[in-house]
Amino acid sequence: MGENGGRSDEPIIFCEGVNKWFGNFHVLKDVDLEVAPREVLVIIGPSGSGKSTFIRCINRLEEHQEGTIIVDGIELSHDVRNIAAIRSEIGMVFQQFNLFPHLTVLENITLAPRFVRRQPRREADEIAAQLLDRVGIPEQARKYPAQLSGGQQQRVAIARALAMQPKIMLFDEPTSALDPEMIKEVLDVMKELAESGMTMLVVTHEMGFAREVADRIVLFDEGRIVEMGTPQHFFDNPQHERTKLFLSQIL
Amino acid sequence: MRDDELNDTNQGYAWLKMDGVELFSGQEAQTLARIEEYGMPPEVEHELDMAENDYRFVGPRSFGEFISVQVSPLFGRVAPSFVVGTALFVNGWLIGVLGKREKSVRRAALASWILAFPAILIILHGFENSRLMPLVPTSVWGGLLLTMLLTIVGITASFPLGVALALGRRSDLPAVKWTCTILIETIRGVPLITILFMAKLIVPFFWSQLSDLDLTIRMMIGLTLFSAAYLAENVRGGLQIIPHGQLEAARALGLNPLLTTTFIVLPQALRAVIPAIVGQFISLFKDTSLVALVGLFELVGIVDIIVSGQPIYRPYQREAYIFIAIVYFIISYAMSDVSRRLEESGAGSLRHQ
Repeated sequence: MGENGGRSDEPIIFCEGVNKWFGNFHVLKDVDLEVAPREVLVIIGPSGSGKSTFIRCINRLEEHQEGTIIVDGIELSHDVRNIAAIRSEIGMVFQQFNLFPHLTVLENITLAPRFVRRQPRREADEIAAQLLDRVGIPEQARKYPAQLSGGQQQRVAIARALAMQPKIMLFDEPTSALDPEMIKEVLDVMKELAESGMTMLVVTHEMGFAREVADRIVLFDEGRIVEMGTPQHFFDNPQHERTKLFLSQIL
Repeated sequence: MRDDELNDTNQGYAWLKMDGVELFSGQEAQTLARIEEYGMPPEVEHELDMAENDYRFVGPRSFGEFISVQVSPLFGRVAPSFVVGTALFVNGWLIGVLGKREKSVRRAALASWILAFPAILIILHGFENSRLMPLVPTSVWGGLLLTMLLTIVGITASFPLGVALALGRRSDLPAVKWTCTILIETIRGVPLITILFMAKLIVPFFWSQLSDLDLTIRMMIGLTLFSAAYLAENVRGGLQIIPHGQLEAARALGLNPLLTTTFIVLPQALRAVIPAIVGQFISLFKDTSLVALVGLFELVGIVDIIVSGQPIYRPYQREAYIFIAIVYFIISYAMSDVSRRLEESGAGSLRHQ
C-alpha cells in the first residue's frame, strides 16, 4: 500500500479537486496541491480562509466531500484501515498544544508508541528521552504539563508527535497561542526539524520563519489557493493582487 | 394484679381480663400465671444473658452503682469485640504505612481484599450437615453485616455498570445510545423502594426461574441497577468536560477509541467527579435501609424488631435509634474522608493547577 516516497519527483502528498462544505458554507474550493518528500510548505492566509481545515483534512480530522487526497500512495477514503495507515505516518502539532494533563511529559510522549506500536516500555522511554533532548528540554521528563511554560509544552507536543516516527509533520498555527518570548524556541525546533529532512506543512503567521525555512509558500484565501511559490518569489515578487494586499497588511 | 404494679416505669402494657380469661397479657403477668400454676421455677446456675437480665432500676441509685450495675457488665460483654476491633485497626494502619513504601504490601492487600469477599460469603453461608460451619440461609443474615454486604456489592457492581452506561449513552451507535438512555431514565424515574418491591414481587411473575433466586441477591441487583443509573449521569457529566482538542490529538497520534477512552478520557473524567461518585455511594449505603420494608433485616430492620417487637426493650427506642444514627454517621463520614483523600492524591490536572 505505501510506496517509497524517497524519490523527490514522487509527491508524498497529492491533493486534487478537494472540496469541503461545513453545512452550506463552502470552506475548501477546488484545492490542488502536491508536496514533495522532505519539502517544507508554509501555508499562510487570513483567518477563515480554510488553511487549518485543509491540513486537518489530510489526516482525516476533517472529512472532505469531494476530491482526492493521496498520502504516500495511500488514498484517503472512508476505509478505516487507510485512515489508520495514513495517520501512522503523519504527526500533528496543534495551536493549543493538547497535551494530556493527567500524564507526565514522559508518559505523554510514550503513550502512543507503547500502546499503538507496542514498543516495550524501556525502549519507548529511551526514545522519548532522546526526543526531549532534541527539542531542548531533557530535564522536564517527570513533570506534568501544567508545570511547564507554553513554549516548553509545545516542544513536548512536537516530541510527542515525533515519537511515532512520522514521515510528515503537520503544524496548525503552533506559535499562535504563545507569548512572544517563547515563540523563538519553538520555531528553532521546527527549523532544526526542517533541516533534518522532515516533510512539513506549517500553517503560521510567522513570516520570518516562512522566509527563512520554507521551500514553498502557499496563500489561502476564501478556500482557494491564490498563490504558490518560493519565498523569494512570494515576498519579493508576488503576482496576485490578493497576495499583495495580504502581504501589505501583515508586513 | 396489674402489670404496672411490678413495673415502675409505667410503660403501660395493655392487660385485659374478660370473664376470667386474659386477653392481652404482659410478659410479667404470664410469668406470674405460670408460677401460680406450676410453682417456682428451679434455680439454674448460669450466667444471666443481657437479654434475660433486666437492668432497669427500681428507685434511685448512686452514680457509682449505676456504673457498676449497668455500665461495667456492658464493657465485659464488648471486651472481646473491642480487642478484635483494635487488632483490625492496627492491622489496617500497618498496611497503610508499609504499603506506601512497599509495592508487595499493596499488591498483597489488594489480592486479599479481592479474595476475601467470596471467602467471607462462603464462611457466612456455611455448609449443610457441618458442625463447624453450619448452614445459615441468607434470609437470616441481618444487622450491620447485611447492610455492609449490600453496600459493598452495590458499590462494586454499580461502578463499572454505571461507567459503561455513561459511555454507552455517548456512543455513536443509535441502538446502544437509546438502550442506555432508556435504561438510565427509567431507573432514575422510579423510587428505589418500588424497584425493590418489583424485584421481590413482580419479577418472579414474569420469570418463574427467578423466584427461586435468593431474596438477598435480588435486592443486591435492585440496588446495583439503581445506583448504576445515578452514577451513569454523574460520570457523563465528567465525560463532557474533556476538551475536544485532547481527543483530536489522540486521534492524530493513532490511538483508537478504546485506548483513548481508557487512558485519556476516563482517568480525567472520573477524577473530576469523585465527589459526586462517592456521594452516590454514601447515599447507597443509607438506602440499603429500605430493604427492611421488603423483608430483609439489616441494621435498621433489626433494631426495629428489637425495640418494637420485644417488650423488654421497648423503653429503649430512643437509645437504639440514636445508636444506629451514630453508626451510620461514622461510616458515612469515613466515606467522605476517603473521597477527600482520593481527590488530594490525584495526579496531574487536579493537583498541579
